[in-house]
Amino acid sequence: MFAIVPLTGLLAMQGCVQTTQEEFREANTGIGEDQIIAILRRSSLMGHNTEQAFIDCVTDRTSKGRDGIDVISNQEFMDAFFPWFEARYAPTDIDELKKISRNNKIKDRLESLGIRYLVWIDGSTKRENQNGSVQCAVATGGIPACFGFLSWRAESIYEAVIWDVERNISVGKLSAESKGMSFVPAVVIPIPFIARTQSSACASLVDQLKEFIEDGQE
Amino acid sequence: MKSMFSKVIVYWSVRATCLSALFILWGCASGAHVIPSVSIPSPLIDSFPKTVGVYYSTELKDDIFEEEKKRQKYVIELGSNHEQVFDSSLNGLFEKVVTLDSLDPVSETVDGIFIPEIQGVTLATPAVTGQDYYEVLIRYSIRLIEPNGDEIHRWIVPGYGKVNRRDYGSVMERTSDALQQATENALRDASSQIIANFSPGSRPLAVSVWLGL
Repeated sequence: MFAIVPLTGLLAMQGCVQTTQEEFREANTGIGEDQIIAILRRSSLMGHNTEQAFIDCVTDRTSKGRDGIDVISNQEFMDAFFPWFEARYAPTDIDELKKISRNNKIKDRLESLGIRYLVWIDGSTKRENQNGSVQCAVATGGIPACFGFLSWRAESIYEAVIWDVERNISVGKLSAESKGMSFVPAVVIPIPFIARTQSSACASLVDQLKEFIEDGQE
Repeated sequence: MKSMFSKVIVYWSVRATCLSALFILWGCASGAHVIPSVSIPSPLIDSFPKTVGVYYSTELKDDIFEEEKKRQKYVIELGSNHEQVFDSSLNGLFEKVVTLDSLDPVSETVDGIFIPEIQGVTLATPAVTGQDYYEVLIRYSIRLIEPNGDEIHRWIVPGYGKVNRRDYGSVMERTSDALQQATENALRDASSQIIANFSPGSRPLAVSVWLGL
């Protein structure tokens, strides 16, 4: 019985997560066998930056599975089009994309790589309403012990704006919002219950994205 | 048997509690000593039909940024990264680029000479700002002169890079990795600005005249 407690503590059990998603379609979609999508991080110089881990998660999951879509990663895309899509110069709306697409070098590179859609990911995970504390100390005999209760609320809000570079139009917007409560009760041994909101938002956004692009009729 | 069982329980309890206690120490950060190694991609631009020289001073080549913040020491060995920024940017912008050992006398036949200088580096860490970001700002001053020494133009280029601390571990923050990536982002940003400074909309008149446009 006592042996189970520390092992349970190690598992860092999952807290409850609630995810909601939204879709806004502006045009029909579809993708050819030789076409790929670029998953890009919308970063701003002075504002927040979407976590790289989230971008990696979306990139990885989108390209996997039976319904996987070929993806060029953010870094590969940025390197291939340097410096046109760097944070300082990246097009922020479809009209700006139209402008830079007039550049033959950019146009040719988009065609040669077979890029059909640009998927701009924006958002972040925030930890708020942290309450309580857990204090750990080494007791007599050299055995460490923790006591207390720590809780916080995590909120992951992300959106994906999808541009069709073949038609130079915006085809839609997807969003995923995951909320969850994490808590760590500690009576000698702390047992964390972590709400994995970011992972949940990633899974939700990827499912939406695949469906949106592959089965998209207006 | 019972005693051995108790020992196993105590052993695992100690290990599990230590590990769990470690998990609670969210965001413990320390100073860092980093040696960035930026890689600037070839720019997707047409180059100008000019041969230019670039002169790197010893101060620029050996540049090391050092700062102490909240009793944590941060060291960034920038040195050769500056050369990488200018070599890549200028090689994309111009047909031929030669590195000059000295400015006087100019032995190579060049149409113009670039002299980059470092004006300063600013570092901001989450521990100081209370934000989620490691931020690095590298300010360059870049002079473009005629081979006879006359100044054509001087640019101030602030290369800015930041990374989200959440990408570098919530348990034991990898401060060095975060700082290195923020620095490399700043160097890359500087390169993109150097290139953009030659675009028709941003190019100063004196530079257009020098380019013959």
